[in-house]
Amino acid sequence: MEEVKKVKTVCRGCHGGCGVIAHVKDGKVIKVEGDPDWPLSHGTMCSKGLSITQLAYHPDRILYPMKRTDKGWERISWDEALDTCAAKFREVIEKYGPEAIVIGQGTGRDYESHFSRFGNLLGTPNMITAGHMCYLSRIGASLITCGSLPVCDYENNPQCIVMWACNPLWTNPDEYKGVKFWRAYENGAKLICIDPRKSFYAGKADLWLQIRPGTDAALAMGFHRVIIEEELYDKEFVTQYINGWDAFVERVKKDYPLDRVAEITWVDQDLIRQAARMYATTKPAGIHWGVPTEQTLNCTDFTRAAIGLMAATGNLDRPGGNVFHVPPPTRKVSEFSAHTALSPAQKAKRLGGDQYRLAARMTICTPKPVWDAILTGKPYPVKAGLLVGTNPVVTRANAREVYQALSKLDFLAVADFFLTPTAELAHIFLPAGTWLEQNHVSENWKFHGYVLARQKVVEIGECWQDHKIFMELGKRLGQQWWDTVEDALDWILEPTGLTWEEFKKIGYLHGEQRYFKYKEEGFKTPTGKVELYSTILESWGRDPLPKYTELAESPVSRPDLAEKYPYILNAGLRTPTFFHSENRMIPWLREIRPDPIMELHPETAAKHGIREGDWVWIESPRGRVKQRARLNDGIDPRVIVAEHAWWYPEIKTPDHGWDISNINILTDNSPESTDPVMGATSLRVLLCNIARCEDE
Amino acid sequence: MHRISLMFNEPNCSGCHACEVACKQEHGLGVGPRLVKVLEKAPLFKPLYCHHCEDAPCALACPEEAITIEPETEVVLHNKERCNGCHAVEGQSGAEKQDTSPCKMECPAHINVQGYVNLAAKGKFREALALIKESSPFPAICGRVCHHPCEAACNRDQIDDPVATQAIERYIADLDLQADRRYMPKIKDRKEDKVAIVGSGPAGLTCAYYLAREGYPVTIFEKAPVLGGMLTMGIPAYRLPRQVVEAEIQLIQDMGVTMKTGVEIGKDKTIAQLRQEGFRAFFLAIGAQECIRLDVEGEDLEGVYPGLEYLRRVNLGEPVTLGKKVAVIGGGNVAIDAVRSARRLGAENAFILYRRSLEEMPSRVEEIEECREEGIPIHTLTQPVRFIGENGRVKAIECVRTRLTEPDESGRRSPEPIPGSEFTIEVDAVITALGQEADWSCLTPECACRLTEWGTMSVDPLTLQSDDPDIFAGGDAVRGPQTVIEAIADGRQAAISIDRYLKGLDLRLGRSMAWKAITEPQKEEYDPAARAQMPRLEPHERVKSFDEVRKGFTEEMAVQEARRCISCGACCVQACPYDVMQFNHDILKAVKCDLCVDKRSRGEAPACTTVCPTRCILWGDVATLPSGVEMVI
Repeated sequence: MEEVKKVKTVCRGCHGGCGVIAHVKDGKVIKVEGDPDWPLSHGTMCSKGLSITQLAYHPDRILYPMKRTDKGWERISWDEALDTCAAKFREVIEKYGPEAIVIGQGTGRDYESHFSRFGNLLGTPNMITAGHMCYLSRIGASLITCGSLPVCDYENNPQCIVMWACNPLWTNPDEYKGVKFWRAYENGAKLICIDPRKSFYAGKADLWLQIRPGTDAALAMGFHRVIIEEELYDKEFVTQYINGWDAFVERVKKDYPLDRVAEITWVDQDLIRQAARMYATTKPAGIHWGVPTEQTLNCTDFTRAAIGLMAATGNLDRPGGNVFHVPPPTRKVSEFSAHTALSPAQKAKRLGGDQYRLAARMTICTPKPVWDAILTGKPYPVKAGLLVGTNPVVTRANAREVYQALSKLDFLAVADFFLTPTAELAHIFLPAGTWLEQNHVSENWKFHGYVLARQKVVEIGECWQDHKIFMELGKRLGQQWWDTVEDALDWILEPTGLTWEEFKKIGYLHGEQRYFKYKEEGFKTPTGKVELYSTILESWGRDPLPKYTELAESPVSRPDLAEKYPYILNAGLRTPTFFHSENRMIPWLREIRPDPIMELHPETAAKHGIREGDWVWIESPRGRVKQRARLNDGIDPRVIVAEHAWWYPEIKTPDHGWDISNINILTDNSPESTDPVMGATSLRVLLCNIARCEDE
Repeated sequence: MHRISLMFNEPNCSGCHACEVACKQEHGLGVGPRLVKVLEKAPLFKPLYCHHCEDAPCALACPEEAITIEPETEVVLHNKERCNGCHAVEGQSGAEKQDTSPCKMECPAHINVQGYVNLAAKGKFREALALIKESSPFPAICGRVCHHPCEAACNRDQIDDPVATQAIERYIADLDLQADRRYMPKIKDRKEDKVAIVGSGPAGLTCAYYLAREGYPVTIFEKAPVLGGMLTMGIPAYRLPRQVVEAEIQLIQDMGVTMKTGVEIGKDKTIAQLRQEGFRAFFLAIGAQECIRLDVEGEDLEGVYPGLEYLRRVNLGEPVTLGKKVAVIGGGNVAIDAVRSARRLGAENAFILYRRSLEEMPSRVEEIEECREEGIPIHTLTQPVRFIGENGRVKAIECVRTRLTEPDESGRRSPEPIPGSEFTIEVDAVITALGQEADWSCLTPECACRLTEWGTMSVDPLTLQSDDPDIFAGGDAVRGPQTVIEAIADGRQAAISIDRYLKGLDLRLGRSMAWKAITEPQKEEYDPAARAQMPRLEPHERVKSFDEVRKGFTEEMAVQEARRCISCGACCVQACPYDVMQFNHDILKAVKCDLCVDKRSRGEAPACTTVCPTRCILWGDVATLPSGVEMVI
């Protein structure tokens, strides 16, 4: 028996970034612990990351390539699997063109660069990710407004933190982990919490704004109203560095009197005033915002209005405010992705590209036009797909349509750990490696100024890290790649003067941070200023100023529908144990959260005769699913909150119960409910009704 | 050396559950008990850990000495070798926290009955007493007058008869009453916030006991000249000797509780004044002592006494003129106490008139039985129509026979008079005992609290908090006339609420546990053994005085009887006040957080602490707490 060997690496249980020390014995990881010296996480880890051994060594995990036959799934070799995929793709390309192949990823396992490169070299513009309504949409809006993503600078003692629709202590914190927030909070920062639920942060906050779900953009405009009315803005900054300030002021004055904002958002006027004052007058102040603001048709407008707040108050790129981190000098994801390899002619074919210009600019599609193309053959047929680490039948809006579309593909290959309901629709299954099985210069695409060395700790079965899957399949299709995964990493690292072997010994690189960069360089926008008035949106024929648009399905916009569906469904409630559709098969995690939870106010529950723990039907115009009731007097009685992305790995039929509790059966993906430039779907807010399940 | 301990800063728990998974990974645990766990009660969270209680109830309760307190570090350790799982059988008994023994479940105060019975079986009477006092300060009182639902629920009746748990409790408590140094719980650090309790009955006194134990300065205001409420003024001495009540109250006084008699809140002092005097929380435990009237003609005649008023006078030694022939009207405990007292005061022909049948009588079966032994007639299905007087004093009762209707929706059968069945009984006196209600004159206009249509206080049933956040209420004042043990249960729950209220913690978190009793215990290895019979005074002796009827067990009887317990639940699991002791079905043993003793010896921190992003779990020496830690246990 070997001694225990300790290997430093980086977690990817969610969007990742926490430092991990993996304990390896006899070629097997026996435990992981947080790395106390890691600058991003300081030794903390979450339940998901800590369960990696139960994921990696799960008895149901698929450890070799498989093909689906009449008799069910059958083990094959990597050669057969990749040759089959390559042959099918070639067939489709010859007959319909490369655009008839859709490639998709989920939140990813840090292979965005490889995913895009594969698609670009394949010649398809039809790449679907979560990016139309998650993170990338935030970046897209930021790029056109101020040139980069402004991140709340916890390192430099913000004196006021606005926690806007986010729970970094539980989930997917992107740039900064929960511990960073907590340290800043413990250092005495004031806290403003914007959340429809009385969250942990609401309990800690100086001010809690219990907002009507989905109206964040209106609230941001309300903040502007106060800041403008009381002249709390940074006069020098708005004059010198904001494009279109006067036009913006005019709009705020005209369209957003505080009583109207209060009516839209359900937040008391005085509270809005207090919060806006606190944010504007406490310096420095940072805003940390999360995906609920993006998963509505106001996606782009909210981010732009929020950046407007940072700009107007002089908190942009100021230490302790919202800053643009300077990355280490690696080769960037965009360069690796070879976007220039995709011809303008192919780019023009991007499904929905004319409509969703910002999504196209971010090199992705919103999924709806892709489903339409598969189902109708219009504007052209889509026949084949490669989905990597994504389970769209439970994570994308209007799930029944998604299921129907994926079932109709002539050929589908899926790379994942388990046979998910999506993977069961595939013809070829490619076994992917977990983060313990991956060498990568990770987080090269994030905006925190770090790159991190995720190094392979073990190899399990015949699983390959996704990067290698893209590379080897790409090579079979005649694409230009490196010989090995590590050779590609050397190329990424080249400008730093380090090789992968050297880098992994160091663990991470941090860029040399500078602040107030705009004073010398301006902002990376067409006017060099913060474009509150967006010249880019204007050139696309869109409203150049941020605004709030009433949600497509709300009691305000659809009083007719609200008669039958009287509650606002706030879908996508997060759990601390699951990352979207993942982890339901992990014993340690499922034990903590055995059932999908829907929350409702005790008064609402009483009205429907629902008690804590009852199964409850949640119904929208698109269908109904059931979840287990949890009473919560910290939400508005008019609002129902429900978890997303549930399926049941323990149900062994190929559907794995994907339609029992899957909240996305209820969500809408119609163009009217979608952000007009980014294509963000309304995963969060819709109308619903509830009823106790009598058969449980 | 200071205690080395896990500490937690409860308000900072964000509910991320990372500690649970870290612990499971560290100790190689699968699905099953979570040694460290986070309780969720939307929208709040609470981390649960072994608190390493001083006088740890789990250690006290363990019949196998498998749980010990390490003297050096005061860490509570669990020895898996010694633990026998209290005869656990998978899928049957010795189960998880919610699957408890029926005796504990049925006790309104959830006293760990099985635990104290097991300790008594081993002769560990003082430890048994300490365990009882975790849930009730009045074992000597309950050992005499409790209606003992624990016995009614006892699984031993599947073999022969229930264990005589009440008599065992009394033996344990009486030993303490006679001891040179009586048991007193350790009082925590003194706190500043003053608490006022209105009423010195069992609810008020219990609340005082537990708040005093937490270190709060407590003052009880009692409007009567004597302390004890119903304990002193309602229950006759032949059932509950005065000195027993006095001794139990004395202990609470010794714990530093101030008790003021003859002060009527609402009249002598108002709640507004008390608030001004710095009282930060109130517990209204005023009982239900106003007698409900019969509302028949002649009720105000001389010689007609409201039951409780009559008992109060008898119990305080004031003269009452009864005569020989005394009718007591009613079927509850007050009626039985009244009639048996009357018999002892020389009313040779004292009897009961009750309008339903024996089956419906709310009084306890053994009380009725003792009544019978004393030759006291109970006339059922009889209802008074009017009292007939002569020269202003009652002389006869006109009654009517009744019959019972079919059960209504609630299953209750109502009496209805049989027309033409009227008859008259000659009497020298009448005592009416139809129930009581509360007198709410303590609620002056500054209070926002509301009363129900029954005249009881409207409170949150879980927290006992009223519409005034600083006012709590419990016992008969909330429930209507009920039992001593229910009043005790309320008193303790009120103390928990008030403590949390004063500390600014959530009142509800972790308190709405659904109890589930084990109903199919492992019983093959037990042979039938007769239940010990309570020695009693002979009936002809009893009626001559107010001497205590039941004499109590001897040590031998108590031990013998305690050994009849079949340990259907796991004691330590039940005893744990923080829900951290758990039952592991895989190994059929109890398990708990052992504080990572092995890591500790290497100077390493447990896995659960290092992963916590908000540092709500800490590790180290309690003497060197980081600043900002508000709560350390």
